[in-house]
Amino acid sequence: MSLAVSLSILAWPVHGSAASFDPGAAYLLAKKKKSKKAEPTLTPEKAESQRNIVRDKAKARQDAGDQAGAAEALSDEAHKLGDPVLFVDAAETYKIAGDEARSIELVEQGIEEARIGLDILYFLLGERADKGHQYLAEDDVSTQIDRARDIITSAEALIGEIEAEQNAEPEPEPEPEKKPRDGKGMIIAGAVLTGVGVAGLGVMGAGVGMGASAQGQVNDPTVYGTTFDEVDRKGKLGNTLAFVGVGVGVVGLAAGVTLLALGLKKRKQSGASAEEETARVRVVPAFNGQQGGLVLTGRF
Amino acid sequence: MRHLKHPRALPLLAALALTLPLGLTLHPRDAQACEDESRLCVDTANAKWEPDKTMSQSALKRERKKNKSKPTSNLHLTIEGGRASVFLDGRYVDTAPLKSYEIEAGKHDIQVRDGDIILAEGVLRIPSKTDVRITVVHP
Repeated sequence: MSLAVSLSILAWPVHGSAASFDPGAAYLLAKKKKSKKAEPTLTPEKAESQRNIVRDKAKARQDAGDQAGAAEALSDEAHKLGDPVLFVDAAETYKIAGDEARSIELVEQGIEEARIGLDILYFLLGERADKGHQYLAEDDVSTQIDRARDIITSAEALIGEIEAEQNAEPEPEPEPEKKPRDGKGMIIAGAVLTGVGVAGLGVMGAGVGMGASAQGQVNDPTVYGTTFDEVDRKGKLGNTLAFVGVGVGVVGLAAGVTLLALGLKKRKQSGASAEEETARVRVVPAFNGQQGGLVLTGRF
Repeated sequence: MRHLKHPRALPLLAALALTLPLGLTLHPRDAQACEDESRLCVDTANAKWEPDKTMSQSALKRERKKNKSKPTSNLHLTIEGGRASVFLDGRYVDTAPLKSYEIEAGKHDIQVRDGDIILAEGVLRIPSKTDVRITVVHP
């Protein structure tokens, strides 16, 4: 009872007038002032609430799919506040970002953040740490050390995984399927040569006709002198044309027909589509009112 | 007039004279390598390094109060052979290297560490208005 009374008396000057001085009250005041000085500048609770603000901002970025941006935000704040837990958070987020982007650089950045976190956490366990500046309760320090170590281990494994992926030989691209030769070139060449051969035969015919006509005129006794010479020249030209025409015609036709036959055979073997199989070379007779002949048509 | 006995020695001597300073310039790091037992070397004359010494929080506060009005200095810290974090007066500052870190004059408790390995720790006295350069060696 006496204690309660004395306390009430001692407490009076604290809230009352300074004029009524009491030495006991002065002691209490001094004590109160002293205890205020010893108050920590940062408590684990205050650090946690600071941390949560940063984490919320980072979470918003993560939700938007920006893992690297979230990691960077966490890292920036970790550096500003010197908070080891935020460093470990940043490390974890960098690792996730690196995993998603398959980026060794991001994972390595995460390892460095975890290492800084570990530096601070180990420092907090030592005697030199400012005990008035507590980022987390002493019991939680070892938990965060384990967390940081786990992140480093898994990040190193992830780097190995990404390196293996990057060093793996790329699968050989399937060679473009060689289109079987369908003999198209041979058919075209054959058609052209056949055409040349037919033209050669035409020239031969013209030459023979020219020669025959000249021969008839030469045999005519009324033809003589310069006329004879001219007819003779025509006859010789006709003979030359006939010989050249025979040569060109025989060679052209022989080569052309051979190539056409081979080309068509190849086309058949290559299994060309039904549409393509309709490719044909045709020699058809053609007549009009004044002349007749052969027309070579090709479809490839 | 005195003549050299071996005329070929002259160009050889000239070459040696040229090579010697060149060799010294090419390897300044080896020449200035920190070999202090504490693994921390202070390259500034006025700064004082007391390895393994500690400062209590109250001593730090007193020191801070005493030097509050003094002009600040700049601390440059380089690390040889690895990575480390730097702690000053009980708090994390940054990872090494430190470039022109503004610091109050007076005594400071310093620790440089890599994870659970303490590379260097002690008390460093910083003179005012000075660029203090320190080198820490990673084992």
